[in-house]
Amino acid sequence: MTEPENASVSASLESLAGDSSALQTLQNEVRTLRSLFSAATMALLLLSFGINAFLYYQDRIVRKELDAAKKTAQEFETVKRPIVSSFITRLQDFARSHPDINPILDKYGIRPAASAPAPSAPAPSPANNGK
Amino acid sequence: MRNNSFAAVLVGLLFISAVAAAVQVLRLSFATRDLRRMHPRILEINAHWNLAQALLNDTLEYSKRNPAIDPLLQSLNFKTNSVAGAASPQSVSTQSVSK
Repeated sequence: MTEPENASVSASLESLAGDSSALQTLQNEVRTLRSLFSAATMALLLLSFGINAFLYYQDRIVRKELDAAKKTAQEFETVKRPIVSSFITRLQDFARSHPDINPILDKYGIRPAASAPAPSAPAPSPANNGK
Repeated sequence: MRNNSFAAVLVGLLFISAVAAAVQVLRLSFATRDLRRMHPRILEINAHWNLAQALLNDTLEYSKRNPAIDPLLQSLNFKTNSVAGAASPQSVSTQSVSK
């Protein structure tokens, strides 16, 4: 071999070695990036599970409160309101024969409006009907 | 290749979890809205009930002065009998509240 041929072979060998080390570096970087991506995805997944658990817990609490509120409203409409209405009606009937309870009815604004003029009202109506 | 599939599985799980979170947020917001709508109604019911309770207490007090109202109270089970009712009107009213 001549001297220039030797020089070109050594140059190509050096360039091959350089390419190989660059490839190695690139592969290492890709591997590192993949690891980082997996770690970040796993962290996000954990965070997402935590958020899901928190939302589920909150949803359960709110739904429990909502069910209780609906039950209260329904119970009031079906059970308590008829009792209270009946009680008030009977108190108003009672007040016609016992006017001393009127201050209590006045206090709650449930005094029957027709209780005062009631005795005088029926008298003229038969006369009007007779014409 | 194995690394790629692992990352794909992770991304898939993350996507599913995100969708589940979105669904949960929607459910929670609807439930919260319903609860907020119910709130004034519950306050109104409580106010009505407290007024009725106060009326009952005043009527029980009145029944001590005028026992003629006792049959009315007994017919609605607000007072079991005149002796027991006069002895503990508060217990009767407490029962009514706890119903």
